[in-house]
Amino acid sequence: MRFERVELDGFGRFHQAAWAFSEGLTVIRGDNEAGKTTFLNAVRALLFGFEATRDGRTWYPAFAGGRRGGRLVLRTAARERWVVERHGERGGGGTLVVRAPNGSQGGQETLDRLLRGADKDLFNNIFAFGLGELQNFHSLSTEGVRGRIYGASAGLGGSSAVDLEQELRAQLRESFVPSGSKPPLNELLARIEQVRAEIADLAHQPAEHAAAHRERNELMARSEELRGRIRVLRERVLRLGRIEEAGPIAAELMLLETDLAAGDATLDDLPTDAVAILDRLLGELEAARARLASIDEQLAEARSERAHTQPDDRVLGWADEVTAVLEERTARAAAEGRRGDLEAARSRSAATVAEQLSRVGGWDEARLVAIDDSIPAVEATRSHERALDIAGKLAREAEARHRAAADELERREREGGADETLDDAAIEARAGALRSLEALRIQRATAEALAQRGDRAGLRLGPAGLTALALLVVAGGALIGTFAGATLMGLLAGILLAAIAVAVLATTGRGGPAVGEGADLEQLDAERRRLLASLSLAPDATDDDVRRVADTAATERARRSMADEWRATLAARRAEVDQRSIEAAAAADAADAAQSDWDAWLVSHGLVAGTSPDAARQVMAAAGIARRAAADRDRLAAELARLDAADAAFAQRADRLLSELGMEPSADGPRRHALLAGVGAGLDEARAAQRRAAELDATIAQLTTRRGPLATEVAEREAAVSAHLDGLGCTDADALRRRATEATARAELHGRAREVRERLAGIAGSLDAIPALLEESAGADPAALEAARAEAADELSRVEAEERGTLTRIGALEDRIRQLEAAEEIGMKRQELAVLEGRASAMAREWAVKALTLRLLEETRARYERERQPDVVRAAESHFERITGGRYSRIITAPGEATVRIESDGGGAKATEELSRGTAEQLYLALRFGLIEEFARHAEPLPVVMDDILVNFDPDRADRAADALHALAERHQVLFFTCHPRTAELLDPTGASTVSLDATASIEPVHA
Amino acid sequence: MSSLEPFRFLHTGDLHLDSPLEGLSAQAPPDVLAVLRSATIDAWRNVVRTALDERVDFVVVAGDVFEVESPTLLGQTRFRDGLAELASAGIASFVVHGNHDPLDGRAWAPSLEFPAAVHRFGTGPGESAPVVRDGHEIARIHGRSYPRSAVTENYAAAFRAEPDAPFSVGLLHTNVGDQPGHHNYAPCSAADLRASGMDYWALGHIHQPGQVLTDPPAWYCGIPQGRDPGELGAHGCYVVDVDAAGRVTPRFVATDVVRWQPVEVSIAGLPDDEALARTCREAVGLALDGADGRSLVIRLRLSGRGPLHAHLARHGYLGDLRELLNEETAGMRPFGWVESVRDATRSEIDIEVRRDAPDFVGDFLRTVAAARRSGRTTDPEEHERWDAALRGAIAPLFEESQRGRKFLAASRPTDDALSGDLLDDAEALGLDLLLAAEEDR
Repeated sequence: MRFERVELDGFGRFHQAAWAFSEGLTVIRGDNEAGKTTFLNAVRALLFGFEATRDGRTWYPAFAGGRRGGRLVLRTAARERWVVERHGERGGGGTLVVRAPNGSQGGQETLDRLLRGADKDLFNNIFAFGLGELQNFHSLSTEGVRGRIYGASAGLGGSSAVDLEQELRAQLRESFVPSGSKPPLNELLARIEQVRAEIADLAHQPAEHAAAHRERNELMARSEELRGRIRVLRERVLRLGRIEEAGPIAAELMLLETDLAAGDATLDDLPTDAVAILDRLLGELEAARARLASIDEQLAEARSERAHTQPDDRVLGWADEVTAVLEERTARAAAEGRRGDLEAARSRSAATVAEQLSRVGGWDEARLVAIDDSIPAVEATRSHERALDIAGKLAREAEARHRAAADELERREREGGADETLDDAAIEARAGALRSLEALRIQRATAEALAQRGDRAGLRLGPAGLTALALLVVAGGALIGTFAGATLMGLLAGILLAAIAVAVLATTGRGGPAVGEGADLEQLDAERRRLLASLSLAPDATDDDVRRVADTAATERARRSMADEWRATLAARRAEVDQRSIEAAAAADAADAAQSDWDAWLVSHGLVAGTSPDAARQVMAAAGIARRAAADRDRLAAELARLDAADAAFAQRADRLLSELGMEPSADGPRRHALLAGVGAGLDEARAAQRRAAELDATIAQLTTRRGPLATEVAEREAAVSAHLDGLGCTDADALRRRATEATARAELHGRAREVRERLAGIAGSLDAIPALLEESAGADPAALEAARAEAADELSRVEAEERGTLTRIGALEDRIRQLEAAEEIGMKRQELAVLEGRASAMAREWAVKALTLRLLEETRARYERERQPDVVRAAESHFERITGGRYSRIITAPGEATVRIESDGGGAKATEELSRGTAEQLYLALRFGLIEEFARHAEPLPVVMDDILVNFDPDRADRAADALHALAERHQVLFFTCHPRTAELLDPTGASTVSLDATASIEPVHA
Repeated sequence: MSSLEPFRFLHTGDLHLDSPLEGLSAQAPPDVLAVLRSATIDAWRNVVRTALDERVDFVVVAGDVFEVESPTLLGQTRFRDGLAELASAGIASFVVHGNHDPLDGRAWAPSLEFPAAVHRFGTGPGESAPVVRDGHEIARIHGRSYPRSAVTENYAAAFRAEPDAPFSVGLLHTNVGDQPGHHNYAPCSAADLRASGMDYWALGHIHQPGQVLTDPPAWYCGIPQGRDPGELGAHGCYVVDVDAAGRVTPRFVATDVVRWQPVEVSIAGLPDDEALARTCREAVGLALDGADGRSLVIRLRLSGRGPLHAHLARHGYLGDLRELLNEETAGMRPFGWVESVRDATRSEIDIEVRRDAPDFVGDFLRTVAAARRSGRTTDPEEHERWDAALRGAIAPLFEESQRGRKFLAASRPTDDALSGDLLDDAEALGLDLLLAAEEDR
């Protein structure tokens, strides 16, 4: 890999500066302060980031302008072009963009891969160094440098063994640290400690269970004892209370018993319901008496009304007649209402008859109504009407046809049409000549064709060939016929020609050679000339000339055919005119006969001859209408006569009835009607009085019947009341009521005495125990009793409270026992602990594996350094020997030690401290070369940047170092900065590869 | 032996009730954790249910009902509740105590009341109790509880069947024949068991069920619920039928609710991460299919050589894979919870060829080989040097950290591990890192 370009946007003194570098060695000249170290640090910064501030100042600020940073264009051995661009104002990585050849962008990881694991330490100490680094062996022995070198030579690619070790250490720290709490394994162990403590705290549970159990059992015994004591105390309190309570009750009982002894003992026998029975009996008696009084009142009312109710017997005697006359009166009034309608209808019918007579022209009524207007008569008129129409129509049509035929004949004759210029014979002759000519043309063409084939093949046709030829000729003939306007004839001519041609061929081609064809053609040509002459054509006329003549002939033939047709048509028209004339005369005769038949029919039916069928039907219709109107008129007149007769009969009957009822009849209709109405009302009134009298009679009879039993019941109930009072020894009801009141008061006394005895029994325990209780309480001092009872009650309360407390505690203990027996905390904690320990164990194992791996890697690396280091040292020895001109040939290093020793060719060994500054620098340079080459064996060679490192070398060694540098530049790009012209000349005698640090700043920057 | 009344009993033990499930290297989701937490108690309930369903005449419990080291009342209470349930069904129980629940006054809550139908053997020799059915003794149980955890006395030697007993059962928590990997408590030999005259030995202490002697028949009932990754497969109890001739036929009945299941997936031929996840998923499904309806705690081990090996070495990859597998099956019942994923894959390179190569990788492999050899070397200096190097590497965690020393004592690598599997893993890790660096090149 090499730096193709270095571009600085801003870095120290550089602003917008760019340099392009080629492969191999480039010497870059610059005076002091020209910026050689700045450039070196800029390259380091672009690859590995910016150093932190130094003494409070920014590291290489872009004081000349621009943004601090720039880009490196790298070209790999595979010719890939990568761009590394980095900018930043502060220390650290800044903003890094790595652009791959394919245009994709990456970051630090991409850059690491690109540099093959060469990190900042490695690059700054081995690949880009100045005199300061060169003089310091420490820069070679840092862990990073050693690890990289050994890692690279170990074949570990981008990672070195040191990286792997660091990764493992990080993983181990992530999992566990000896003193810390965050990593998961530390956390787990802490949690284990905590859970163990929690379990220890819970371990008291069995002991607590046992204690609770023991206490519960003790308390249960105590509870039993307390319950016994409570029973005894309760009895004592009760007994004392009883005695105390019994005293006043016993006194009350004594008083009650004294009162009862002093009273009337017979009252105890009075039934308690005696008054109630009396009240019931008296109530029933009162009810019976009330019912009897009600009946008597109703009877009096009925009898009084009956006396005032008397019906009119005279009207009732004529009741049926009165009803009949009144009904007829109603009928007559209705008939009178219809009279006006009848009279109006009669007038309308008479008017209709007069109207029809006037329509037929003043006929008399008898003549008109006699006309036959029956359906057969009307049908007859229609039949005659159709016969007349048909005959008339036929006559008119025949006449029209006759006239049309005559007109057509006349038109034809006027038109004319015969062409008399045509000569039929000439036309026919020309047609024949044309057909012959065409036949000849074909025959000749056939003959020519046959002649040619006969030349080649002897013109031998088999039967199939002959048939084909015949068919061809027939077809040709048909074609000619068509051409000449006569297909059938053409076809016949073709068949004839075919027969001729086949016959000719059959004879000429069967056996011998085709001879004589020349003679036949001449005959045909002679015949053609003759036919052309007949058509007035020249002998050399062509086929087209012949076709034109044929066209003219066809036109003439058509004209002749049209003339024939016109003449035939004219003859046919004349015959038709004659026939039409005869047909017209016959039709006129038939029309006349039909009119005669109709007139005869009219006369026979009382109508006038010459009347049209339609007019005849109108007269017949008027006759029908007049006949029906006359009949209506006569019927209505008869009905009006019948009405008048009925009115007269009714007046007579009404008058007779009024007389019978002693009323004056009246001839005046309305007056008669009023009288009759009064008679009707009188009849209704008489009938109502008659019905009411009958009802009252029935009521009186019924009430009389009901009264008897009621009177008997009243007597019986009066007897029952007397019997009840007698039975109880009372003279009347009031006496009984007084006695009953006294008995009730005595019963109350008995009740109270019973109650008191029961209370005493309750206190004493039973009725039998009452005497003893009375005796005990009789001798007791109430105050002493009270005190004793209160004392016992207090004791009881105390003991009961204690027992309740005991039971509560027992309950609580049992709850706790149950709780303890079902407690899962310990089990859960132990399970948690088991899981924690399991996890810790697994993690510990994983940790142990990693720790062992780390140790094994460390061991391996130590061994590697021990055993493999000579590869690097050997290469360094070779460079060192060369630079020192063979003075020193051996370098000795001890693994893990930060020093080296060298041996001179004389065998003396020297430590680095014993070497001159120049020799020490040459040794360190040789070691760097060895390391650079070792690195390049396993990864792509990196560019090497050196800043004036030869200043302390004597001229000889500087020459040899220059050789070594040239050798190095064969595989690596080497950028060598110097301010010494001599050094530049030494490294690049021709100056071809030397550039000035200032001069290069004008190169146009590339911006990727 | 004269004709017997045939009978049936249930042989269980090593209940370790309410003890935690050990060896979980990851935090289980709450629903899974709840199942794991109650697994021992639920398994005991299954034992009780089995006794009821099988209508056994009695139940013998061969010790280690729970753990004295971390006593919980819950375990004891549930034990008593189960016995009470059996008693109410007319089933008597006979209990001896072992090294985890000795009668030393520390373990058993004295306040816990057992039903009358429960006989707990004392710590003295020669104790027996009859099993009575319908007024007749059908068997006699001989048993002896531990007075303390570490009993080194041979208890079995003092067991003697009584001539009048219809059928004698020896009930003891013991290590017959000093089986490795177990405390040699109440040690005895097969000869001791034979000499006792017992008709059946109901033994406890070894957690894998199985027969240790055919004449007389002596069986370890195993643990009803496997509690750590070492207790693989089905666990349960024995239902023992005794016929009229006194012949016994033990029948294993699984009572566990969750099983530990190692699942191995080879990365050979797997092209990418997706294929690996799919293969793991299928392997988990297959394991569940064969788990008899039980939930599984799965330890997934990736093995073989293949291109995916480099992926597995990536930081956090295995954890992500585990979470992916668990996310997909979250909430399922029975569950197949992947507790851990271990990478035992190796890179595809020929390690022997690389070991001979004159480069850094070769140096590394040779260094590891030297470390490995040091575990077996007779050269004390070399041995000491490597021991110091390796021990020194892990000392910050296991020695220098107070908590590490205290809480990781059990995980502290042994000498064997340091020159064995840990070194193998370190070699694999180092090789992966070096090869990855080579890839980078």
